[in-house]
Amino acid sequence: MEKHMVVCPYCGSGCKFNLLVEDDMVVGAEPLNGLTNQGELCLKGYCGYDFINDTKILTPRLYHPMIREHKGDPLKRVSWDTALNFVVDKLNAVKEKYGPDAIMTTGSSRGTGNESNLAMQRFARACLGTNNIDNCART
Amino acid sequence: MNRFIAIEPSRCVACGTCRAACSAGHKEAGLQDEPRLALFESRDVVASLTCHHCEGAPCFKVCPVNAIRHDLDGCVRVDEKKCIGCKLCAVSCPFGAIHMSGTPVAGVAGIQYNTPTFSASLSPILQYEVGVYPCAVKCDLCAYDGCHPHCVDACITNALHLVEEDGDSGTPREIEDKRAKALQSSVVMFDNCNDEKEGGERS
Amino acid sequence: MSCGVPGMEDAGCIFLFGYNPNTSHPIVARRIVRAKEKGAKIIVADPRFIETSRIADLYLPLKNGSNIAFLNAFANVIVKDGLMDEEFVKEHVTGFDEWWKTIEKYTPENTKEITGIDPGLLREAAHMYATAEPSSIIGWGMGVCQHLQNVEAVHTCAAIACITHQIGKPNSGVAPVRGQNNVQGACDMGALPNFFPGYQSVTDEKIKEKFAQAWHIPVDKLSDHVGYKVSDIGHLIDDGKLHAFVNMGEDPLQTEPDTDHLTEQLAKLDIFICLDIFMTQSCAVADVVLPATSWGEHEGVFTACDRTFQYFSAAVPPKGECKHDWQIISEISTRMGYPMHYENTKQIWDEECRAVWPAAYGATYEKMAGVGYAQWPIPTLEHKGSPDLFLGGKFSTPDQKAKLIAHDFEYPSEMPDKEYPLILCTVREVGHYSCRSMTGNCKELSRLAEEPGYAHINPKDAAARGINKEDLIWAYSRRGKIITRAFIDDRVNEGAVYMTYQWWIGKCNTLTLHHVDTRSHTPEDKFCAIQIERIDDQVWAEQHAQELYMKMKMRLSKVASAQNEPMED
Repeated sequence: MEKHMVVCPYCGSGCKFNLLVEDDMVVGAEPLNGLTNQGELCLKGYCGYDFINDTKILTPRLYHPMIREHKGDPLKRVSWDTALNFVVDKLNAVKEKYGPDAIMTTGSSRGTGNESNLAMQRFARACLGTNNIDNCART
Repeated sequence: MNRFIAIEPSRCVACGTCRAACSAGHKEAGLQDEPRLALFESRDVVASLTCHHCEGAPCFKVCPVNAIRHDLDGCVRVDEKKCIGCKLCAVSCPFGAIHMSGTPVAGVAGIQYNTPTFSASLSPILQYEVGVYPCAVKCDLCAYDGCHPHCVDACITNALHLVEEDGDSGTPREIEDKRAKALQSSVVMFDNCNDEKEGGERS
Repeated sequence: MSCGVPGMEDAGCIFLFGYNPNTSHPIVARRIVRAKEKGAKIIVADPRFIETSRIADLYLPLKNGSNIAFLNAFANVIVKDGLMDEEFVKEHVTGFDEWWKTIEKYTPENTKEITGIDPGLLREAAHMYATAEPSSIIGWGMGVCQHLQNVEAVHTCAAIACITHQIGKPNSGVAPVRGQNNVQGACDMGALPNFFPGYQSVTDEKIKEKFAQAWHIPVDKLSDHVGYKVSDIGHLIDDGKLHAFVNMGEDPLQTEPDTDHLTEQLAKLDIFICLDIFMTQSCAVADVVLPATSWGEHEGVFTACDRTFQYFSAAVPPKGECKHDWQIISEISTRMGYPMHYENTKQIWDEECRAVWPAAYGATYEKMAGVGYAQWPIPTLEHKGSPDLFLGGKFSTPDQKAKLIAHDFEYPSEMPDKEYPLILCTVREVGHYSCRSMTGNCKELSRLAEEPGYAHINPKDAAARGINKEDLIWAYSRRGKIITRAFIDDRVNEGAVYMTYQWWIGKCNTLTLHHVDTRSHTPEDKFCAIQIERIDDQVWAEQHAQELYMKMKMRLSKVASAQNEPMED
């Protein structure tokens, strides 16, 4: 069994624990003596890991890029190349027609981590040229 | 003397971690995953309540198929394989610590989703669901695999403790000190109990 | 937070105002229990008799939506009863006279009608808070922030801490405990329309120069004005101002208010892009769905509510074709003609955070190894980090002094009336998180709490409507109607209903009002008018709820199944 140290993704307390991994499946959680949690975990920390394994209890994980070519079409699977080019064409078109402030972006205050937020705000500001970036701090 | 899980309500924060630990531990052992503790909340008191493991346990006496055992170590346990779901134990329990649980059949035999046939305000003893075979569920002090009770280990404020004849007694502070010592060698929740038997390492 | 979470247990008094730690942060609730055992006084002011009220020395049952009237009267008592630390105010605080002109008008007696608080009790609480040794902490949560007068209440809480000198020393001050795990981090990292990373203003020319240089662009490429807030997207789409939305890891159709209306608005976008790990309700209507790695599949740094940076590692490899969010963004940017390339998260952390934010310079990955951490401000490599802010009364203003700001009380936007006589207040589920896409997919957590969730109702309100415990009920407002389950709860105040916002069928955000305050544009999720009604045929209702839930899951699963089809191109 492998152990990988993580910080709980469920509230601002910042509890530290190990994820227990067998054959690339997360099978358990074990508290660590972190600054705030001191070897304790609440129920979300103890039992909140198995979504990673795609249990499909509520809704499935996403594995492949999908696009809706025209409004009203169903989503269809495409390659990363196609999906990213589609995004770029659409964003460029909006930027050209309405200016950079017609594009809104969000960071995420959830599992993605600080680095993705840093990348997103740089993208919004330096690439798009807008300060339209926000996160769900308000909800 | 009997053994049971006691709670200090002043420490309970009603987070339900004990219930989650109970459910996870029993599920891991292949038993019903229904939590064996109920979170009782009134305006002034909050407490996780569970079986008292009574010395003259009425549930043990009424079971028509001897699915309930009263072990010498003071623990009253249900053998889920033997239980016929007659609910006599649940009716006879003076504390309401036994209730029925079964595995839902949604997803099999053409049944798409759970089909409750009762109002949820109905007494749990009278509730039934089409196709679900009920089984009596109660606290077994996690005796099924020799573990320390999972709820006690998981409690974040040390509000729960296992009362034993020669075990945890004394002031909360003394118990906490004992627990802290015991924790160093005891089982961390979810850390498979078999590890210890196989000499596995734990942190 | 101006103090650390561990330090809370060493405070002399903890005053919880609109914050229920037991469901939001059990690990913080644990500290409060420990503080109490160490002798701290606990004060709770909340319309609901929340869990901590049980161990509180004083419980103040204020009416929903009366925060500012209450806090103003609280401040008034402090000044009038001579509880103010005059020396501290003289040395470290500005704007007192102007502030007092407003506060003077609010006495415990003349606000009693609005707050419902007995003046004697309010005085007792103010004395307990102001005189506690060695320090007092005011902890608040969304009970302050999701009201119309949210920024106003924050200003006043801070003012109360300043005039009593219950800030600027260890284990004291203000503790707005952040809800989501990394909401502090997202704000720290500049995912805000008005700040670059490290709360550096986007309109400050010097700061703009610095970032233009770091990002290798001419300074005029940077926007010269503050951007839009995410809670405004609906209105902005209606006004024709917004045409594209790049949404990373959020599910606005679950978490934003008045979701039925928002669904119509999002459909009008030219392009709606979602980066997510799950097929959420928002992804299901998006034009582009990009699969990202989940927590557990990537590494990085989170910031805890008390400004603690902590590193987390990847436990399992990415699934399918999932890429890290930062990789996806970099690739889009590069294809749009602005090359962004990173080898790993450490490079991003060092280049985009530590290099441009002086207060985080000392927070290296090395310091955060194992159970290590770095609490900002941490300006140098040798620095140990700062559990407490504003020590010695040095505030983060240009003159290092705290500026007092006072506000007059206003009533909430939608008051109860004959048709909708109850107040709906949205709260949190202890075993679920945010839009529930993560915890709803966990076996144990969904075992313990499932759809349609509960509406907590006072026994009198329930009896008046013939509602029994566990009954399914209709809840409706001017915005919509949903099915939910009754929890008859004598901790709930009469006339109010509390629903957790995690449920997709019993979705309280179908009912909430999309009315945001003028300063922070936070929705008024804690106050809108609703009505509830018993459903006569309970068995039908039970089956109906199951059917609705299954249909929703089938719909999302069907949309997601497109990813299993073979590719055309």
